[in-house]
Amino acid sequence: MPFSSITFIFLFLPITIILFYVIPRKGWRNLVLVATSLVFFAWSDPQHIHVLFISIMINYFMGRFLDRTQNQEASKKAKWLMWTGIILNLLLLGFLKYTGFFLNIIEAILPITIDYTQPTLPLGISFFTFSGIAYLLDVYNKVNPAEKNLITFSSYLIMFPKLLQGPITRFIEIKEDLAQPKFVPLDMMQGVRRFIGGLAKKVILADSLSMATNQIFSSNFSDMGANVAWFGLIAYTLQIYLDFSGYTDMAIGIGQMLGFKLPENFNFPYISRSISDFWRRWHMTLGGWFRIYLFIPLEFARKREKFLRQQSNLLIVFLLTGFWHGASWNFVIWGIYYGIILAIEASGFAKKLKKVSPIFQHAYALVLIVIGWIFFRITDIGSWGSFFGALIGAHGWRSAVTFRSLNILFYIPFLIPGILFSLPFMHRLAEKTKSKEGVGRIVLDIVYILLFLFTLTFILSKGFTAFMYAEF
Amino acid sequence: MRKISRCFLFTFFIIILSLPVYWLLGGKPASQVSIVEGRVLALPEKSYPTLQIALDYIREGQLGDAFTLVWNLYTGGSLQRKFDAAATDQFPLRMPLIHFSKAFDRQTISLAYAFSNDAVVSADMTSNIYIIPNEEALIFPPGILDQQGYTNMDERLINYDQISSLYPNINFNIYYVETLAYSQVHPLNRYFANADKGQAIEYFKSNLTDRIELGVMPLDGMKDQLANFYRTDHHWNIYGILEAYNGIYELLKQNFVNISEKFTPDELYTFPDIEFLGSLARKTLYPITGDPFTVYIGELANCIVSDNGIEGKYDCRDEYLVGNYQTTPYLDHYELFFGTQTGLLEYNCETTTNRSILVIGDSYSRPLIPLIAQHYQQTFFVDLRQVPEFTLSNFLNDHSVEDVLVVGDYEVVFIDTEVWSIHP
Repeated sequence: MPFSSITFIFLFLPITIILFYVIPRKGWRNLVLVATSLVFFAWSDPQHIHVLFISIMINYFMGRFLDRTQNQEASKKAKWLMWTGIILNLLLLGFLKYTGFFLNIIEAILPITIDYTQPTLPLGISFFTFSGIAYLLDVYNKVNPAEKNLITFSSYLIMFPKLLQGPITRFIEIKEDLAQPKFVPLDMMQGVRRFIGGLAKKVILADSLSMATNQIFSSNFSDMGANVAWFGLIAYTLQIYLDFSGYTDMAIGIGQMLGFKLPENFNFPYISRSISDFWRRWHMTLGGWFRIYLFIPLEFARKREKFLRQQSNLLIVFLLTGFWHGASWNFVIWGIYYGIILAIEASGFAKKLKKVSPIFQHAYALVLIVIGWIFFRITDIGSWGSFFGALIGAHGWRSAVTFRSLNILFYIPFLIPGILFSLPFMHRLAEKTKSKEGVGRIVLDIVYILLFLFTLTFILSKGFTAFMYAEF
Repeated sequence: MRKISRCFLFTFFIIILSLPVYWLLGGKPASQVSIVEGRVLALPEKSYPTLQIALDYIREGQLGDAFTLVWNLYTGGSLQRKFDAAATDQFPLRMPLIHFSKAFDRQTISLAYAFSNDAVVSADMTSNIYIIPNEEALIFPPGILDQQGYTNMDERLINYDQISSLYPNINFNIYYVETLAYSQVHPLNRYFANADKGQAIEYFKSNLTDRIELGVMPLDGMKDQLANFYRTDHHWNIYGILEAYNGIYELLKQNFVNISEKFTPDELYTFPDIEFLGSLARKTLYPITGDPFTVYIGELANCIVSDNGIEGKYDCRDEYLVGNYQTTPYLDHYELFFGTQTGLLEYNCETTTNRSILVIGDSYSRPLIPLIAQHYQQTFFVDLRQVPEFTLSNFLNDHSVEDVLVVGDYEVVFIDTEVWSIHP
């Protein structure tokens, strides 16, 4: 169920909040959360509801076994259990997400034909699988003990605000909130504001820009002028941030409404001064996951190796980061692209970069980030060349594919608010106003309510499909 | 918590609770038929006949069967889809809010086009329909002619060739109606590198077998467009219909020398209280003055009409002429007045000839059928989209016709696609 649907905003959300807070015993609130999360998931993806149950069972019981084994100080058994849990999680993810990809590789290498149809991917599987692995590793590393209550554990793993697109949350980050879910009016208010802001970002800006980018990236790049190609790339750069950060804002906002503090996922990534800085600001929970559970253990395990250890570890981490985003070569290359840049930065370039003008640092990071989105957005690797050609004006500044032929001229004004909301300016202004008493705050609250109503008109307008009586 | 924060929270929750409360109080839209969208709005209770069956099972104590039924409905996803559709369709003040959103879209479009000298601008953000503000006319973008278009044309040309050689005793006629999208005069042609610009008809003409007669209703400029077509609808108006009828009459006359006298209307009548806001206005919700709705009045031969063999009245012409019609905005007067059909339409008329004709066409052709039927004993009409299994050989085995006429625009006349295909 999308957060931006009428069903979610006007039925699921109010019903969930009412049920959550009318339950007199706080312990039962997690039960409400689990039940509503199952409904939430099954509303969009009913065929895969069993995958959620499997994931809950694997991680809950493996966590419990691990905990018990560790108490008995049988470290080898604990290690074996930890690996079994991780492998089971990865098998679940690998089977459902990557089987087709690997079989294609086998088909390409060996002279065989494999009759295999890739099943549809369960929604959010990459997110809840990574949450499960994080939980097991934290139990193994004694960051937190295993949760004994199955309902409490399930509410951590499949909590609907973060179920489909994160933020990837560690158990320890919301453990206390899960133990004592409570109503905090101030959090509720901040949550509502955050939700409205995210909804507007997603529906008004990201969805509008996506209409333009979908048109551009489905066109023939060899007929495209540089003006359209650059507009498409900039619009996509904004769209992907506004879409994902808008979703995260909604998720964090809903979490706050229910008394949970979910971790932040973005910190204005487009003002980064280097690519290392970018990955500290973009999809922070995924970056954090790879840093804690892969990069640091790799560094530790290979501490005796001196030659290019950090660089090769970065490459491994970002190869897997790319692969996490999708079972497709373009994501793998996107990951390698960042791995190489980060390896170069780690080899001393980052230090040199800090000595040059901040404007150059921003420009350097932004250009590389924007180029990176080409690999991410265009899944057909064979088309990259013609798109790069269009960018450098190989087909002229204007060519056969124009703003008018694609009917996207009117999306140009969306770039201005898109850029404004990708920079900290608007956020700082809102924070400044919020912290003060008086008219400014009243105006801000009115703006939020009007923004909410305005966003609703966009949502309803999308559902308007006048019948052209083509059948007549 | 400060007072203003409570107000903010209170307002937000009042808004999000308004819909479930409105539903619980039994609130429904004034009309359950959306005229502007041409569809029945989804209603929760009407969307779930299966749930009713499940409730019956529960009353009968068959809890297992009821659970299985609901579970299958849920896991199949249809319950959710219908519920989402109903939740959106039944939203209070839905249409005014959509109008507001469209108004915002238009302001954004104005802003985007403010720095250009374009005489034609997008009418909204979703429909791919444009407005010529000076003429207050809504139009489609130019049609594209690419390699696939030529392939589709070649397939149709081969089919025409086969048909005409298979049935040498039948007169085959094609009447092409040039629309703005496929003409040289479309004001946006210069922005579309692959715009048709009238090239397709030239290719078609030069490759069509000479066993088939071809007539064309050309579009020589925007003046023709504004004179013969509605400004708010994709169809032609009465002037376009009558011009096409005259052209078709002359075309048929070439092989039907004894054709009865051409029909001349007694008068052209404009309904004073109808403001026709057609398909383009509906799709864009562009605030535009409606078209006058003008029809011909004249003595037509008595005909028995049947659709798929069922006799009936398949238009509202008589009702309109006695003043029995509605003036609700966005009502599709073209369809209501000129009629529609679901399968093979047949006119059996009291005429002095025993000749028959098959007309293949679309909604453009529908108003022409009563006029063409004046000259034949039997007139058959088929819209290929409604009868995908239609083949000429099957039809001609069952019916005896002397003339075949294909009439329409680009899609109907000269391309073979999955939807539009002439099967010999």
